[in-house]
Amino acid sequence: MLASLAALRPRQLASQILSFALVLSTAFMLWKGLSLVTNSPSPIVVVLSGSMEPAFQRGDLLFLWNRSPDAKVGEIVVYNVEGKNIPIVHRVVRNHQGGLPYTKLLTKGDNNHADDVELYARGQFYLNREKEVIGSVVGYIPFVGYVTIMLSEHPWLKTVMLGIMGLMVVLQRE
Amino acid sequence: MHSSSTRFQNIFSFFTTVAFTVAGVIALSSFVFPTHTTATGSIRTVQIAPGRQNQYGTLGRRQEFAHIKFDLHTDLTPLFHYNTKQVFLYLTTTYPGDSNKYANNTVIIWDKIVPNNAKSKTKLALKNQRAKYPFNDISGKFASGDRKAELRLEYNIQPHVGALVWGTIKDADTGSNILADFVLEDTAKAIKSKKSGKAKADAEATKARETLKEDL
Repeated sequence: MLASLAALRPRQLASQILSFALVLSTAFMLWKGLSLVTNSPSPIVVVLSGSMEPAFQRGDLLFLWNRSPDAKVGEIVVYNVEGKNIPIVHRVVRNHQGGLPYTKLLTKGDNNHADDVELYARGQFYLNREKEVIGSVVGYIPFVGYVTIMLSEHPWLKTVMLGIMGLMVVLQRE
Repeated sequence: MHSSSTRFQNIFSFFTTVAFTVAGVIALSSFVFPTHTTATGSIRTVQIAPGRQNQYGTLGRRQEFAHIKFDLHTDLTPLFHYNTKQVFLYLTTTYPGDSNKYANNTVIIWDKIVPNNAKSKTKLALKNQRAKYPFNDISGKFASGDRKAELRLEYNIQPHVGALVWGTIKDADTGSNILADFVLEDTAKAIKSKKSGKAKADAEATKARETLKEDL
């Protein structure tokens, strides 16, 4: 391995590293571009729990859209309660709006018996559409996101994968 | 060129290309299926009773809850095609509230998940069905003024892959999105007050007639 690395000419090595950096920056730009188009800080999310079964299973990939100022009853939204850093995917079951600048929502997981008041902040009974909702689900691909669950549950896999990817790029001769 | 790593890469990229193309075609093709269906529905009774807001201990304060019973007939068969994983069917009620803060309120009062398999019943005939979710107003009390509420039947088709689809099932007779108009008032109390009101009016009428007779 090391011998083959040493055998590379410096110019070739530099160009391999550059192409690797290009791949990374392209991915980053695509992600941020999608974020701009959908108006959501996280336009693609992976389902982490079974609370929306049988619609969504763990590891399913969801595409979000956040251009509508409202979130109608029946829509599935992803929200982040202030102070808690876990995005939750649940369905809107109540919507209250009027003279206030923002809409208040109550959510519930299809597979849960009770609504989400327990998951909100202490003393909070409703979500703020403006501040806490990061998008509503418009598209669905099953299972593809399971890789990220594997990676977050077994962190050493991340190092291994990055290492293999890096070596592959560097060692490719063409 | 013919190393095992490039072969593996080629196979993998071919596999993902084919998989995503097939998924894309399936996702697009599900838009060609017509999803038209109708329903009939009506409200049997509305009961407004005090209760606690939630089930998690001491936080809940006493407030008014609306318990609804309804009839519903619909056929969901047109919503099922080969890319339907499940249909989430839900009944919503919209009602006016406090005109300053929360004038427009929509709540789900009943829902049903119908998975796409041979065992699921796609034709629904519910009679005097109790709504799953009694609801309270965000302010704790239903506004005293206008209480005209509307009942709608809506669905969300969850695909195996592709776009989620939402829609409203129209009324079989009128073709409108609203299945029923009703007043968000306790039906038992309304009947009672109507009765007592009528009795009072009758009593007054007989009294008036008697005084009229005496005058004559």
